[in-house]
Amino acid sequence: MITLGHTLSGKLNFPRRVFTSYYNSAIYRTFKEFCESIHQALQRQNIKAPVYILKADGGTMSLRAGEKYPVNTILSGPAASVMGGQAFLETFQDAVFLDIGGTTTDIAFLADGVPLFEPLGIKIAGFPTLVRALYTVSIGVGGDSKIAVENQSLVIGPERLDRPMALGGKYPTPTDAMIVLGLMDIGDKGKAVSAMEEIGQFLNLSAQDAAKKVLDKMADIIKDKVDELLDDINSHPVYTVKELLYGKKIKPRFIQAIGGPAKALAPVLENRFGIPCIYPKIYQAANAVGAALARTTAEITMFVDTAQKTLSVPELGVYEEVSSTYGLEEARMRALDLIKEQSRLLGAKDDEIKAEIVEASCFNMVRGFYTSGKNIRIRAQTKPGLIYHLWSDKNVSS
Amino acid sequence: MLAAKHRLGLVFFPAFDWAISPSHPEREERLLYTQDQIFEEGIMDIENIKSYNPLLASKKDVQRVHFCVPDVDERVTKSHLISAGGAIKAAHVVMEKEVDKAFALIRPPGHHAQRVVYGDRGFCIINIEAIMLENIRAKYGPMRTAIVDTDCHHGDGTQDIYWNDKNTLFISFHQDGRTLYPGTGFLDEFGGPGAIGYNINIPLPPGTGEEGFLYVLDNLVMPILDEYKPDLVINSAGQDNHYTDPLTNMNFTARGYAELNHRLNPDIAVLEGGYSIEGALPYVNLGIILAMAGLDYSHIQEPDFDEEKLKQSPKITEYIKRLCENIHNRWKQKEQIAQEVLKGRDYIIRERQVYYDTDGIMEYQTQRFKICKRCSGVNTIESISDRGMPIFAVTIPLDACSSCIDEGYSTYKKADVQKYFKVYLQDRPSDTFLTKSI
Repeated sequence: MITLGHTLSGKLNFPRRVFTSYYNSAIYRTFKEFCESIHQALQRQNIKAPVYILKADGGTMSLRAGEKYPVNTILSGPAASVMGGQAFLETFQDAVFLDIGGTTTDIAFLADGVPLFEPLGIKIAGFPTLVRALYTVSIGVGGDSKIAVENQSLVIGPERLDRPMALGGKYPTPTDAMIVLGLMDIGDKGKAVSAMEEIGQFLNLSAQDAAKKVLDKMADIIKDKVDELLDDINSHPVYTVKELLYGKKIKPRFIQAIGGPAKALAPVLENRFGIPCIYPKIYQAANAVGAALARTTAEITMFVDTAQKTLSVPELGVYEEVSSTYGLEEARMRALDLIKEQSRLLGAKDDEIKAEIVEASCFNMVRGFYTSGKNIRIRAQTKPGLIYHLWSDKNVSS
Repeated sequence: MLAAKHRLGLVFFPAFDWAISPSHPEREERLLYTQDQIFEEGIMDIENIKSYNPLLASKKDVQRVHFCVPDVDERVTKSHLISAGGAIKAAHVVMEKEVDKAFALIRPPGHHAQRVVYGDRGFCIINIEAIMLENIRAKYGPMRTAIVDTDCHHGDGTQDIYWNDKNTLFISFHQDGRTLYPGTGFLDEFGGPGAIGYNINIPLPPGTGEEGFLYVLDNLVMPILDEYKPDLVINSAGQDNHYTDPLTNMNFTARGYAELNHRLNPDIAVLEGGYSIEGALPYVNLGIILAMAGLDYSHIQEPDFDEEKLKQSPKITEYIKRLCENIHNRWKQKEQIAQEVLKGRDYIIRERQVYYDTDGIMEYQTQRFKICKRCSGVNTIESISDRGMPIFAVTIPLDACSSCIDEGYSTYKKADVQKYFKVYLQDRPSDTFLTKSI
């Protein structure tokens, strides 16, 4: 399978383009087999509905389109969670999004209600790529994390060794702490209490106090990481005076949590972060909801050089001639048409295409001391969104 | 993944929304193709290369270096404060040891900005390296510093600012002032009475190429730096010695710039001029980044590179050899020269005219330096521009002795406000700045 790097992304970054193309070719065969199995399975069941596959950017594409660009489907799980959260949320505020699972917690952010993207693309097995993705960071702390006491202090994660003790596991976990505190009603409470007693022993605390301490520690770990990520995001490079002086800084106003321990941890997180923490009614299954409702997405990059009279969109293989008076407004219109076309090719239905210009710049090119033309660059997308919302099943405040 | 040998901090701020005017060389697009090159090479993904946003320099930062007429707010835009703040950020991350070296790729430039600022000269209003250096001296204490200016134009602003400071050795490579703006930068501009010999100009003939630049570095600059032993080396990295630059007549190359940077090994580099924005800047900037990061730059080559065409003539090679000997001899004799110049004098007067080419202003200046045995000496500037606004400015230098401090304050007090539009006192030891006017 030969992948042409420029068709995967028009963004400038040669090493990333190489890694992305490599991955695309490397998984091509496996992905194709997977697609064929899916098609056969659906045929056997006589299911004729169109099939979409999730991408890391929180959107979908048709399974057929996926066969050409399988690399875009890698690491789509965390993105589904974020989209699931969106289904239950109607907001224009900044927020932290947490998907608290058994082994890990995924952290994402909303800026004015919209999920944040990776600036260029995700890293896959240590190699940076141009795979468009929602910004999510995973940390090794979850309901089933290992709890240990080292030098009189509590350590949670990063590994998961077993199920919680209340569910027949061998080691104490945060889930046991939640059960002890009555925040969760599963498994054998007696076993959960002995788990916390085991921890309490090292810290000279009762089972109850040890359980509280475990959840506080868990909230600390999450809060520290969120603060670190926010620092990083808020100091992302800017290239204009306007952005440097007045650029957007993300200040979360609330937390939205999903995943098994979300409900139990909400009050603890609220306390630690000092902002409200909400969770959807079906917090355990938000990820699946996101996957089911995600809309088709696409992105293109357009370059216009009016001195050379060329317009190109590498992702689509579009190379056209334009007049020397071609302007930014015309380019924007053309980009919107092309992104709609691309979205249709990827499987979007006309009424669900929400095309927008993400970036547009226009520079005068001066050769010698005269303006010789314009250099226009545009990035357009159909942004991630949902086919419909479940706002009647809105979030619950803790 | 590729990892840099030296941890490198990059402050890349192209200021895409700022220009002197739409077709001026100092315009929005100046660093656009450099950005494309940095992005396409994946520089920001290299391990140990870290990017930083500029800080915003403060009014106080500017006042440590300049007398802005009438004041900082009137002369200096936010864009200039960001450019200076970019240099400051680069210096901070080096001082805090977050990185080993830093490169501030910022605009507008600053090395033509002198102590008094009536307007814009050579696309510069405030001197970003000087503002950076004085910021870190105020924050981290005294520092013996060498500034090596590799812009094709004489760094006359930096020369003026450090004219009388022997703790700042200023070395400027440039195209001979008889053939290029600003028309200064000759051998006899050798430093004020407190720093004779510590201002070194190397006026190179038009047509100087890779061979000549590296010869000057190896045979003149490095030996002087080895002797001077600076705590900090700053490179004013102007990129207009490149053979494609539209404003100059030199034959230097991107790989040559990288090689020069590698051998000079500066702690901090700050972008100055360079207006071949497509033919030179992307390659020269990339070369400097790779050299500073300790990565391989040997494959950097401009698309239109032609080794034969860029070869330096033997006549130029010979001229440069003699020039370097001459300058090196003067450096070795600086103490004798100082004795002769200072013999029997209490102060030295320097009369000058300063032309602000970008704004079309002419300034007439008299600088008066006290000759002091214990410090570099209190000094004053009396100045007027052809638009009026006469000023009087007193500088108490950072190393001032108590009697020079007293003299500075009494001179400031005695200055007649009726006679001047504004009177200034720059008291460096206590880091204060005073002004008076009617």
